Amino acid sequence: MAHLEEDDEEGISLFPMFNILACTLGVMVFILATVATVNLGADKAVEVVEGVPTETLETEPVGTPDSIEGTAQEAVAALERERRRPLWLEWDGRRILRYPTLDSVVIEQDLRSIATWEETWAALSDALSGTRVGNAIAQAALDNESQYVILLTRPSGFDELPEVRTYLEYLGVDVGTEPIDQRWQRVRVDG
Amino acid sequence: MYRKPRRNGGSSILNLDSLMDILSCLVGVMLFLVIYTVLELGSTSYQVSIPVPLDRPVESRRVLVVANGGTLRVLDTGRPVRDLVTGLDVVPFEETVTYVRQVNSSPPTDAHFRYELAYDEEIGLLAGRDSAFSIVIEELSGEPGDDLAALVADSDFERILEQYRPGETWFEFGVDGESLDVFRRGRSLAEDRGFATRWGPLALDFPVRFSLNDSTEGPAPRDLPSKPRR
Repeated sequence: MAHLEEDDEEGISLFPMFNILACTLGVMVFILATVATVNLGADKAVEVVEGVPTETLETEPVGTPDSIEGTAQEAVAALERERRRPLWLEWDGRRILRYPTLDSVVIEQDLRSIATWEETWAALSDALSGTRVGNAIAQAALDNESQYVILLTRPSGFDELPEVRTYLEYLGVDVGTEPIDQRWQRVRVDG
Repeated sequence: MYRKPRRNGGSSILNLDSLMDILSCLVGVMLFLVIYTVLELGSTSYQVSIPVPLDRPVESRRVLVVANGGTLRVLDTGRPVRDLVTGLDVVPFEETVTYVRQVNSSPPTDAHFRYELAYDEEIGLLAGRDSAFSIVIEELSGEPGDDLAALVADSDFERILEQYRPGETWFEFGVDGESLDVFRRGRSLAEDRGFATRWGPLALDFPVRFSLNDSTEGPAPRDLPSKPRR
């Protein structure tokens, strides 16, 4: 006589499948989280490149578009020939860091609180004297014809940027400044 | 007579072990891809080109671009100042206050700012008439400027740039720490059009007041520290 089979004998158990699906879902969430984090810029290296000038106002051409283009190209070529090597420094409000050697000098004193410019520059000079960063700046000042300073500045260093910049100019160094994001942790320079 | 089928070794008819092996392999491969992607993206660099410092532009007019709060706004005091002081030369001294009140009743505005003329009688009596005048700049509410997403083709900033000529104007960007991305984008747009640019850390608190004696080009992004030289 026929009888019904027991459930546990012929049914298909879906528990293993469910486990696999849960694992797969977890992995996909992990992938999404990772990609989102990376895209937000965390831990992304930044390469800072010295730009090439297109033209100066002193060489600002007047004429037809064709002649403007030609004159601008000549100006670029002339500037390229006279191109100087940059000394890359970073200022974050507390220390001066040199790239790519990563030598640094910590400025302990609050530069804004110093009363006069001479005393401000003297304080910076004292902090830098005898250090590799100080020697590199001194070398750039001596070799002004072929070197200049690019001062990368983080927002935390904005307040005291005039003090640092005027100190470098006081030494006779040509200075170009560029703001860089506070969150950039790995900065590389080119040039 | 019905005979119950014999079970094969006690296992179910549909065995999922093979499928599980395959999926486990796939998960392993995916994990490998994730790790590889993280390492690859973590070491990917994007370049920030900085302009070579050149001599300060001469014989051209400076226009300030305020990059703060993640937005970009052009602060050009040229036309508003002209509108405010045009009639001043023909106004008798005793009617100066009336004139100032009159021009401030409908002050000139641009896309983002309102400009008013201020007159300090006390200083004017001591130091002469010209020294008493200043311009007060206030932000227009509801006009925050262009953010990074808005700085695409045909943005307000680009439309404003079209009003200037590279030989006659250069742009000084006043930048705060929150607005570096929008500053770089705006500077790139200006330089693509041939304008010379500079930047400086921004420290402007609106309303901004600047004396007409100190500068006719409007406020600087930040005043230099007032340290004397011995």
